[in-house]
Amino acid sequence: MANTVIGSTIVIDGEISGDEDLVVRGTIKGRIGLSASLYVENSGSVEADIETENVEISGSVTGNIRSSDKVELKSDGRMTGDIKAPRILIADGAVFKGNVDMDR
Amino acid sequence: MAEGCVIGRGIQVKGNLTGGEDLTVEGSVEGHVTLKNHITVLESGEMQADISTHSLEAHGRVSGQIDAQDLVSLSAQAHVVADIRAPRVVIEDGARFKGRIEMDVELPPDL
Repeated sequence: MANTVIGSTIVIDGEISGDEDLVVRGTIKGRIGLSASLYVENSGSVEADIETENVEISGSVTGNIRSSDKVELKSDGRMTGDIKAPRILIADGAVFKGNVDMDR
Repeated sequence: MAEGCVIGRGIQVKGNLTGGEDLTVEGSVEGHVTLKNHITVLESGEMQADISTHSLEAHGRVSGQIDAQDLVSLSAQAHVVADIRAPRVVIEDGARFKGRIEMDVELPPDL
């Protein structure tokens, strides 16, 4: 899997950008811009505007997501914000509040 | 994967990073870093930061201010421009360093 992991005790306040997958088990506030996939795991918490190719959310996200491919809200995922992506999946059990825009 | 934080080659972090676990930097980190544990900057890694940590091991590029409670070690591949304050500082043959080193760190009064 991805080789960048933000561990569960880590808090980043600022900006993360890059071209490889990012796994979040800790807390990120600010902005995330990736040309790869973002995985927010159960313990992960993101308060940020996110621009990526893919997002998979099992933790909690507050902010707007603009994704070039897919956003997946898993059954443990909690999200507040707007999502704009061609493919959006919301699993049973997920909590979501916001706008969804699948316009291609 | 074991618990720990890795900033991979293709990732840039700008801002404040705090935490209580080991951090490995293969990519780039800019800003302020406060950690209770160990930081390893690998050869591909680059930190431009004010760093406060328990210990730091540099194999890559580091610039800024480094405050460590224990050991700062610069390996042969390291390229460091920084002011270092730590009780133990190790510079290996081949390492490039520019800056101040202060090992005269205040001891706790109960010692």
